[in-house]
Amino acid sequence: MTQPVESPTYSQPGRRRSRWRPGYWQRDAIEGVAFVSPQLLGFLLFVVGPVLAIAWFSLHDWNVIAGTFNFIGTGNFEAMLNDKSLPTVVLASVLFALGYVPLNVSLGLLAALAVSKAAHAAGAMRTVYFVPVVVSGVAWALVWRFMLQDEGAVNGFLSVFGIEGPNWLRDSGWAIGMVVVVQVLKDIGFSMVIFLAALQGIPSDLEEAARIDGANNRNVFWHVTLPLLTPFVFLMIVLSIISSIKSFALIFLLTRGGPGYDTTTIPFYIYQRAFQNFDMGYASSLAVVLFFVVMILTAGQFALRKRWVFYEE
Amino acid sequence: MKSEPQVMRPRSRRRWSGIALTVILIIGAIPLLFPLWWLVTSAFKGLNEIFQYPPHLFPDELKWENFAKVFELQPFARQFLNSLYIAALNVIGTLVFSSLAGYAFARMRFPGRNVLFVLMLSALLVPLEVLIIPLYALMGELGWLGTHLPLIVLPVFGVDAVIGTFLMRQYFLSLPVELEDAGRIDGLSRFGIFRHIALPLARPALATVAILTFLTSWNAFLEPLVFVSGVPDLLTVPVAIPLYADAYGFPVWEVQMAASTLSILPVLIVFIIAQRYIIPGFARVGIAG
Repeated sequence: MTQPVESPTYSQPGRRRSRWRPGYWQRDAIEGVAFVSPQLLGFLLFVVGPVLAIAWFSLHDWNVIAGTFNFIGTGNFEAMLNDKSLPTVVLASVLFALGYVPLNVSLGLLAALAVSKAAHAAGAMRTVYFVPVVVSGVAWALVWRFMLQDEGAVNGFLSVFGIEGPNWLRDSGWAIGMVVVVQVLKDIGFSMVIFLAALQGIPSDLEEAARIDGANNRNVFWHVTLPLLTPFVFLMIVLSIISSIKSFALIFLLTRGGPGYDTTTIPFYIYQRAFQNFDMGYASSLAVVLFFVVMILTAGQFALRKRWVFYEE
Repeated sequence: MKSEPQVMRPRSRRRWSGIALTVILIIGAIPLLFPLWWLVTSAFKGLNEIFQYPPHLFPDELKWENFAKVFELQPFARQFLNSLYIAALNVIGTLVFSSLAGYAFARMRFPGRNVLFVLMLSALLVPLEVLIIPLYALMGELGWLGTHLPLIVLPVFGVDAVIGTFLMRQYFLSLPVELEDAGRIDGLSRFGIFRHIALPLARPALATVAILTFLTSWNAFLEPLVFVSGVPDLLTVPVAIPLYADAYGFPVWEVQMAASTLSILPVLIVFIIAQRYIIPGFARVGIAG
């Protein structure tokens, strides 16, 4: 990974201007805007516009089937307080994030450390662990649903050892945990690759210097490697929080949010309310809340990072 | 210096720890690879064998008729083609517009360039699930619901485009600027420099963007679910596969697994051929955040 370097030729146009045709940089400004304008237009139309629109929609009673679109102020937000399924939904989202984020980060880090030390097998192992990342979420979810059902392969293999497994995805005590496990198994390869890239960036002389000073493996890991990795641990926590919010397809196909609302996370609930109950206004207000939750969590992470992220570039 | 002997461990011990690590890694890989093995083998099993106790690791006989059923029960060939041409258009569109924007963000000087770039990057923090309702309304206004247009236009110009733009910008920044200076002295226009000097040099980045875009498009689920549901001929593969169900809505597993096998094959082939572009590409996308 090459470090991007701003070329001095371009950052100091005044000094070099005499070499170019007059008006070169003025033309560059116009052409530059022209170069980015398709993406800029798309960004305004498909990202900024929708973010503003969702705030506007959230203030309306909007039912697609009934054809209503009436301004009701904060009515949708008040309705959340009386929504009896919402506490379960929030709990499911929190449990999912609490399970997913630490597992994804720590297992990814462990896999990266192991792969980086596995000598000849490193390349092959990196490939193997990355395969689930590229496999479609649909195929991954369906095969796990197939294996985790009552008479599925998992219980089939357990029964060989005389263990009677539960109905993993229908059992209230197991369902959310299994959703976490299936998602983590798919994503480990991704966090592993991030940590592998990070490990490659650590100059080996630092570890060697520590060893010469008499540090053993454990000391080197806790006092040299891990502190140098903290920016990437931070990065992976932020990314994992965001992707824990994005696990829509998996929940849709694995449990449909059940049993009850036990595995219905907020994004899935938004989808249900909007596209199955057609209550777009209420779903929009939930999306607004979700938007702010993501922003607050991300901002909070950045605020906290100074406390524990050791090494800043 | 005195601790030197402790540092240098005997070579054999180091080799053993390498072997031990490899064994642990292989065991750890079982839950990652077994599901794929199970997916592919179940695609060849008969209905009775699928729920056999104890489970069969290999199919008794290869039931190719599961694959025939994939094409009988739904217009799967059509759906496969839909996925393929939508992914192809996404790749071409993203390559064209992301490289243009990425080049401008890397090399050209226009007012607000850096602010704009950071703003666009922040779009990566907004989950698609938040945007899907207004996007649905917008597509409705444009009359694009029930067509493939949302699936073609949104990835090229929406949130996904930001990743491509970012990767292209970083790569252009890493190229030596002197070559472009030479082109300029020879009288090339900005577009000429981009087209004839920068773009050919950026082939590795273009390959990474192409592959990432293909994977995202090929595996997309929520967008086709929302924008083209209900019309079998319009569906893409990911939304079609869960629809292999019996009259009671229960999945016809062996057919779902056969269709899933067909859907992951192209991806696995591309992955195995091009993994040296794919894995670093993912790493760079991650570090983008």
